[in-house]
Amino acid sequence: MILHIFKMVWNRKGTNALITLEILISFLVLFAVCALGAYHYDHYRQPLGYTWDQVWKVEISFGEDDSLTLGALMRVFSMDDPEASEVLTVGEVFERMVTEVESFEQVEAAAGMSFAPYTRSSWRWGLDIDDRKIPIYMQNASDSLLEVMDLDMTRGRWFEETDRSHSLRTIVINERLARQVFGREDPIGQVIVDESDSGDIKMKVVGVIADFRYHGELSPPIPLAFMRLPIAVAAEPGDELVEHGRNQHDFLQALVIRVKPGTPVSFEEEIIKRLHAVAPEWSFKLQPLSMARDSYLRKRLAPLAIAALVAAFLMIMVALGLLGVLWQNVTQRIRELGLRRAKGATAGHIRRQVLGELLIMSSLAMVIGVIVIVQLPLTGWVPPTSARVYMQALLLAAGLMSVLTVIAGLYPSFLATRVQPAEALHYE
Amino acid sequence: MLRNYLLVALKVLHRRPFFTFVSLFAVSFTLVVLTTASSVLDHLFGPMAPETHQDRTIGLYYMELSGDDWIWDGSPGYGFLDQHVRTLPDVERVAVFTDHTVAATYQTGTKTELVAKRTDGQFWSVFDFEFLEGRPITDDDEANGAPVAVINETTRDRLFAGEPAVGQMLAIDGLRFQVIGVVADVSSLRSNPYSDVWMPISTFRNSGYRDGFFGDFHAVIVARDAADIPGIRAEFSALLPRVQLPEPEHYEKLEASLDTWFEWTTKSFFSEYKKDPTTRFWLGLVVVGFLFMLLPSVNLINVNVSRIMERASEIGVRKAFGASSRTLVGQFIVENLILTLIGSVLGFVIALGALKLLSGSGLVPYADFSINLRVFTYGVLITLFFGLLSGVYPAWRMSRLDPIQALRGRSL
Repeated sequence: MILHIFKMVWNRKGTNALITLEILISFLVLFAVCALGAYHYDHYRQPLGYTWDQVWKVEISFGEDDSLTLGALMRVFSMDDPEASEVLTVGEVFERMVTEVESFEQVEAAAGMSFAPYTRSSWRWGLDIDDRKIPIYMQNASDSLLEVMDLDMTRGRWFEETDRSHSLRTIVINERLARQVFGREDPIGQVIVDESDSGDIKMKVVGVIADFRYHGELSPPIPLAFMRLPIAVAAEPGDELVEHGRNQHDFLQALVIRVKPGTPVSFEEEIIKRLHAVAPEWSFKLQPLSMARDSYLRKRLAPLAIAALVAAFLMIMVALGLLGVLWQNVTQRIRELGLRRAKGATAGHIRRQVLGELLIMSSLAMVIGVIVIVQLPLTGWVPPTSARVYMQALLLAAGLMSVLTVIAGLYPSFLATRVQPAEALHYE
Repeated sequence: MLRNYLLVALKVLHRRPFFTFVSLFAVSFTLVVLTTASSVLDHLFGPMAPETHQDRTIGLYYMELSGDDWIWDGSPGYGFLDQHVRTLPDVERVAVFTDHTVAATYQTGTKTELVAKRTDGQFWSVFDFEFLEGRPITDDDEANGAPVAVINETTRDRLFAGEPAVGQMLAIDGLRFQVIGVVADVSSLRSNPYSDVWMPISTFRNSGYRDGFFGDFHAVIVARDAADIPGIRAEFSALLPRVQLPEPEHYEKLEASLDTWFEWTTKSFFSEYKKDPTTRFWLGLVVVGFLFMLLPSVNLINVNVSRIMERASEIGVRKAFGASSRTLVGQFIVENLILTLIGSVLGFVIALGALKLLSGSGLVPYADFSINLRVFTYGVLITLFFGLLSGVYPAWRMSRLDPIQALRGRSL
């Protein structure tokens, strides 16, 4: 039976080759869109590692000099008396800001960090560990970040005040990094050394968090480490903390603030005013994370939505085109179909023949399509993704394509069953 | 002759409305997408107010310092621009301005986020803003650090409920500015002039920017004549080796080039700052466009082939009466072109709606996409190409039809 249908498809190879080509291209288009969707969905469903609904972020810019480190000294003028000023370290100014913000009753906690969530910025270190170069996304964080971002500790502990006395920097890493660096070993208590020109930095792992995907839900998960940054950096020379302060890595560019539920947006202005009072020369951009998240998702999903819309229209066009072509084929083959009916073929037989031919063509197209798609990762044109995402996209595209061809074939196959043998046989 | 073809074509279209619908759907959909895309590109690159002298404008957007192990790159700083670009000889004007920043104002009791840009006085002569009220920022304002601001129309509506705004006060980032002018909105895709509010550079909270080698600044140079541009570029390249570099222990070479807006946009699109990627950009565009048209073309070819099969007996008769293959191919291609033209007219109408929707969606702030003569020409060219692409193969198949078989009503 199948061989027979193959033969009939082969007999009309001119027309059928074109139909197969059309299905093949449609399949590739569908695969591209499905892969894009599956890639983003795969990221979206993985846990973020923090909560965003009651958190506000303040991004700080320091005028023209964007690389203020915590040990840098700055002159701060008093708001009340323009003549009065004092010299503080950047770290001390940060500490004042956190204290001021936490003094509001609407605020539960505030913390400083390098980059607040939903940013495009990042800071990467390439660490040489056992002759492997492992890229790590670094973040500086103050002690209260755990509470503000509602981080999910899976092993060990978060930073605490006693870490200050350690001769090592303490860090908290995410599970992904723990897996990459330590494999099955217990990461707690391990020491990572970063060798650089300005001296080695030794970092002791004290805890592991589930994740902290600060680039947002749709961005790829990253190996990440938080380094404890004592915000209060005193300006006394010789103090080890000042050494850290001079270190260019010790910077904070953002505050995150957990507010009580129901805090109105108008409260933003009070926070900004208070921050300006502490550091008049800096500018602050305050945004609730929920808003930052909305605009991030809109920006990332808009191109996807446009691609999906265009693909949907393309598929409607293909379905209509196939319908027309198959319809025409049936009217051309009235004599053949009539003869079969006269020899006793049932309506079901005829329907099976028309749909069977179509399915053979679409299967052939999809096999060729899969062969083409399998080559893609080898060319290196597509970003590396997991095999699962690839398979999901393939299955989804194949399913959609089959549904599409069957829908396009239904009406023509129905028409074919309506052919009257008598009418067909006296056709000429 | 052509009139005959036209009549036959219309008759054929009328005979099988379903096929006509499918073909028109494919053609107009393709045209909608391609016209929308070319309108967006035209909006991004084409000459339009306030960038009216685009043909003789170049800018400095990016510099790179390098040494043995060190690389420092980014936008130029005010100090560099003031010292080396403002002093370029034989140019009409040089404007210096910052990149965008987002600033918040709590003017109306709620928060309003504004895109802010700081400019010098020349900026307002280089770009041709349409003033609805008041005056631009002048060289004097910049020299005196006057706390003044120009806002756009939408910002006036948001902050001052559409009332005349000149003379009103505006608090941005805790600083107070007096509004001196209101201009018509500028599309956010035109990154150089675009902003919600413009203020003098000298109103920065601190003057640390003045000496910056790198910073957040751009400069735009207007030549007296488009022909002067190569000379200005050469002049600029010649002065680079003489520039005193910061941290000479680490850096020994400065690379920078004066780019047109189009060159700069393609450079930042590919993150490829040293080579000129405009050829690559056009090539990429043509390839993407062609790939996109592939599926609609194959679809239309399929439908066209089916149509021809249906008309086998008509073709047989014409062949039997001596019509040459060439005549038949010509006839069929003309028919197909007529079909694609009808489809493209439909496509244009739908594209107008789609562009209106896109402009209104707020996806691109202040963008007002429209179909102008340039975009229309692209559209017609694309249509013709599409019509030929989808008509040639079926016509060739038709010309091969054996008249005897065709007369008997048999297919190939």
